[in-house]
Amino acid sequence: MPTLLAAFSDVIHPWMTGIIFFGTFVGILVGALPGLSATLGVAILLPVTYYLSPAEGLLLLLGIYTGGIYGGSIAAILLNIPGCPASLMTTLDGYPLSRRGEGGRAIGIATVSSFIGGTVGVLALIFISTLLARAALSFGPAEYALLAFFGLSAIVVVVAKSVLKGFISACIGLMLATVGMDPLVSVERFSYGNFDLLGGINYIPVVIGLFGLCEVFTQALETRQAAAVRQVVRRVFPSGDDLKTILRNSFHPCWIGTLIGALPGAGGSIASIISYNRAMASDTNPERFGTGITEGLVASETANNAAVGGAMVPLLTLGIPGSSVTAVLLGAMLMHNITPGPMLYVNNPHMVYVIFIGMVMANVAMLVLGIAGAKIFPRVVNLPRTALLPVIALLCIIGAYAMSSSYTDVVIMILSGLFGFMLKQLGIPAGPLILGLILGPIAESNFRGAMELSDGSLSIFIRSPLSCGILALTMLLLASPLIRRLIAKPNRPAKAERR
Amino acid sequence: MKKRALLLAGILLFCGLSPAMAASYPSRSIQFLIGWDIGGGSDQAGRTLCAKAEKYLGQPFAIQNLPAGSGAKAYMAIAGAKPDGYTIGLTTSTISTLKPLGRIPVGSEDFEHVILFNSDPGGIWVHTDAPWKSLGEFLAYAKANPERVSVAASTPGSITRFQMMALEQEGGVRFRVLSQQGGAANGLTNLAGRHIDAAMGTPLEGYALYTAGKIRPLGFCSEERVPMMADVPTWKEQGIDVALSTARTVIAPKGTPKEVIDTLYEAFRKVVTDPEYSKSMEAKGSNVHALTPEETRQFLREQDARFAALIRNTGAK
Repeated sequence: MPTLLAAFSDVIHPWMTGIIFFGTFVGILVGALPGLSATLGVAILLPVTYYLSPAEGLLLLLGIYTGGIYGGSIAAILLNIPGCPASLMTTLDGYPLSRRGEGGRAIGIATVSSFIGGTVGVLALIFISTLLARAALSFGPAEYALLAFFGLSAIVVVVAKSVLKGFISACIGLMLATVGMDPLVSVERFSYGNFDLLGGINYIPVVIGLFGLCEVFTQALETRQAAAVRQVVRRVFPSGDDLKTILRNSFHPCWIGTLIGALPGAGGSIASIISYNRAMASDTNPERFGTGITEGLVASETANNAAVGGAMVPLLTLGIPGSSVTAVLLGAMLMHNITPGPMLYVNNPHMVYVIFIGMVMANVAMLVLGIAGAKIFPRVVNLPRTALLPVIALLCIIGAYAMSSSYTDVVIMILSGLFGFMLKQLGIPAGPLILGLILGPIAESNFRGAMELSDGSLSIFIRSPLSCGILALTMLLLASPLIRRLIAKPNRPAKAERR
Repeated sequence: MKKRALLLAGILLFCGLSPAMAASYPSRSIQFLIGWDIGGGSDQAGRTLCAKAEKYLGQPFAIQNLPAGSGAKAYMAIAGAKPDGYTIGLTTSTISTLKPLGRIPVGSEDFEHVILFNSDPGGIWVHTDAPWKSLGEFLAYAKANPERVSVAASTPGSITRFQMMALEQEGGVRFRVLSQQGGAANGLTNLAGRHIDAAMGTPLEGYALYTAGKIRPLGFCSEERVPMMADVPTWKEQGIDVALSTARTVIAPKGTPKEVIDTLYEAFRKVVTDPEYSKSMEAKGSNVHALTPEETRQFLREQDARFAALIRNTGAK
């Protein structure tokens, strides 16, 4: 207890608080700029931490991490460009809202949801981390594969308009995911001697191209036809009704986000995909999703920020980094001669408490800065398009290059942009393609790994209660259009009229 | 006359230029390529080395991770870079395996060598609650259950995979292998969750889960015991005549001036001979070395021969 108080008085110190607010601010900026992700922000500021004390350095990086995951939602809502991969699902309901001129309201909802998710994630990290670590370890190859399949089954519902088109898009994504070294026997596939493609097609430039550059093309053509929607920002803090919706819908995203975040190899983007899927699977009217509803926004934004706390669980309790950001954090800790792992709680409890309290503070900082910024950010969209669009295009190029300083990634981004524009003209959604590209490698390597372990028997997928549960949820999601049709039969004439 | 003087001046200038340039090296940041993921063993080793060497070189390092094919992508990038000392990078022992395996067209002889600064032995780990107390017991069980005991290792071509194959060969057993794309560390996580029977990994990679009480080592394939886990016998002590470590070196493109190589070596040598550095690396189960460029080349030549033989014997290609 005295250690907790000491840590608390350390973190509450104006200098430390200032560092957290600065880190969170930088994180929001980095996150909001398309292509610059939380991982990159943490990696760039890592050298700065050499000149700080270990506690200061870690708090700075944790602030960037927290702010970065949230910041991605701002670009997702206002520009239909996920600022970072974790806010991919936020575009689905966030952008339709801002198209209706409700960008400020949407950012407010995203901010409060992120705050709730982030705080619950940290509380889970503080109080049930051992339990969570055990739960995370119970995910073996079979469970990972099923989780990826569950994520992929979203295409059925995400694109209720045309399952076929969604399916085509997802298949393109899955095919792109096969490029690069074979995950198990490391033989080159479809890289045609290009060593830049050995590691596969990085999904970040594809996301930037399909969403960012494609949006630039689309809007450039639109300017002639229609005037931009003006963002009217009356209030940014969610109204009573919105708050009620947020609270009612944030329970499941919180635990899903925390748990998925704790899984090594998964992270914010997968957490929000799974959470969004679950919200749809359990909704009586899943067609509403993707049209700009609060529930969808809450499902995505709460989960991806809950994943931040979750991701710290394996790092602090087991000493293993579960995501690219926590890997950089691990590096930062090792630089300062702090070895994360269970012994940290024994040897250096002060540092553990500083991390805990710092993360809570970072969430508070995110709430304050987010609500303050929600009044300003939407104005960006009111800028003349002749100024805005070139800036976005430039950011797309920088973002694609910055991730791994590779010109190949820039080429991939531009090709994705052109391809995305083509898909848009054909009415094929880009979301499922990204799902395929992100989840494909996880599904493939774990499915094949599981088959190696079971010597080719599919029984491994029903061997644990966990895998049975995920399988059941997937079935439910896949069957939902069918069930809906059966239920909706009497109303059919009305539906046809609407079309 | 004027013309000839100009020519002479030009020649003199040209001759004088290259040593002068080398003397001012480095005048800007140095790109350092690491062919493994952020946070892994090789990334840790490389980043720590660079962070501390900045002080001696007076210029920062720009570290870039190019994880693919156990270092293949980074090796290719370095081989194709300008030999001016501003693009260098990290290797592990895969610099001796990827060419004989036919994965990439370049091997250790296609680079200039700066320093061999670190080596990590491999090891085999089981879950804390597993019934096997020694490597002998484990191998006896594996012999009785051919291809039923599951072992995780990195993808073919990696050093942990070779260590596992050597263990199979020496122990006369066949495992059911689970390939781990991201490196050996993922296999240890799977082991901690009891999804597999055993996993390969260096002391550095397994130490955290070991202290968490999730996994324990059955032995390390080093010549001597690992100091921080001194109660764990080596493979040799348990009758498996295999000692195979991964050695980490710094390489530069072929043709990099000797003065530049020497400047870099001097800076890295100062880092690794600093007692504080060696103490912190050894506490994590890593060995520290400071081989000169010539010694490093000699070591790699021997290592190339060793792995070429291993690849022939195990039929890994």
